[in-house]
Amino acid sequence: MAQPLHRLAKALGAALVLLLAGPACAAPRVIAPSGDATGAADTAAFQAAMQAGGVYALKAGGTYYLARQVAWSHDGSGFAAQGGRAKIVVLTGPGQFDQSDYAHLLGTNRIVFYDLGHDRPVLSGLVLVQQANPAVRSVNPIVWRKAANIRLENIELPGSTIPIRPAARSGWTA
Amino acid sequence: MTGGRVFGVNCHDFNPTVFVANTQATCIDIDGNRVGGLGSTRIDFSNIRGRNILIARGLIGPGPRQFTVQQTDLMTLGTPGGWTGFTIRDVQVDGVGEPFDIWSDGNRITDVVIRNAYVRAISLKYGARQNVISHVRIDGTALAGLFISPMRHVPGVADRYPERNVFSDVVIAHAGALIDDIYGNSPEGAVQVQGSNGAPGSFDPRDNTFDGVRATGSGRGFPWVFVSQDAGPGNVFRGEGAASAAASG
Repeated sequence: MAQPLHRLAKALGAALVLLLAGPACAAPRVIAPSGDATGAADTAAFQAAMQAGGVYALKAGGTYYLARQVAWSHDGSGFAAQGGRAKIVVLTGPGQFDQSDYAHLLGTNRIVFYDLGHDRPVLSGLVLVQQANPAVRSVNPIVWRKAANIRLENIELPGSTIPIRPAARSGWTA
Repeated sequence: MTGGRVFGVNCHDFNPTVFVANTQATCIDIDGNRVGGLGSTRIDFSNIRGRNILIARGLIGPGPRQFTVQQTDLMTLGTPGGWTGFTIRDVQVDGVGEPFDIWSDGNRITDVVIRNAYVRAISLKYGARQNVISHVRIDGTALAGLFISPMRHVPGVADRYPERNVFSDVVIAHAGALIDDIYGNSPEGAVQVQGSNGAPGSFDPRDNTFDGVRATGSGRGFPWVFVSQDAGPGNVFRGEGAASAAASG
């Protein structure tokens, strides 16, 4: 009796090891905050990430500055803070997200995170803060259109004029 | 947009500082407010929070939209005549003009606490159908707690009535209590009939069920459930508050 039990235990042990190991997976690619308050460095890093595809980890508690739109190019892509939230400062200076009117609501200088038609976009663990600027009336932090199987989690939008729009066409805020 | 999950969205302190004719502040806007037909479906929303999403007082001037000066929503489901079929649960909202502005069909909204809605707490508009709204607590509105608005009338297209919606286990306290906090008067407070595109008497909700909808601590005499005097056939009121609801309708 002991022998079959021993074999069973060995088999269970092997199964457990396989389950724990899981499929081989690479460490998540991490985008570290640059500290560059002009937004040039972080914007370039975010845009390059979406051009390459994949889900990128952001540093919880870190502050990132975005000056231009970040658009999806691949399925299964996005950003997720690990173990907390990352702060995204949406810059509203000239040439950034700077619109003072309501025309062209889907313009690149009105939408921060934009996806058109991809599967499994991800945003998780973000605090999106719009840089104070009374001249700017129309900034949408997140617009996803015709996407599928979305994952939008743990998003905070404090003290700003900006809405979150999982699928948007019109309407605005001021 | 099809499928997926929106979990843990917290919008707060949206206070536009400039007002123009159509100023709108919305936390989650699906398919665009007042633009329909994009047809997002099957998204699961949960753990949604909203607080202090209000157009700043003092910025509002006289105008044709003065009765909806608080164009502020937590969620706008803006697909008139379209099936979205969302699941929306675990929602807490405080200080938003119109927390739920529902234009689409087939949504299930449950476990909701709404405080201080500066217009209406939950609105079904323009022929919204087959929505199920349950386990809701509302405390403090400027106008109605639940609102079913005019049918959708588009020339050349069959009229679309708000119908076959179900409201169950809804408690509304202090409806109308915040009326002094919004600018102007609402037609629904004055005549209880809001016509489609300004045509009086075209408001005709039908075959809707109100089961266990209760009012407590009513505010300023506005109907706690606003259903038109011209309400159509087949609306069913059951349980506590049924007589009051019928009188409002």
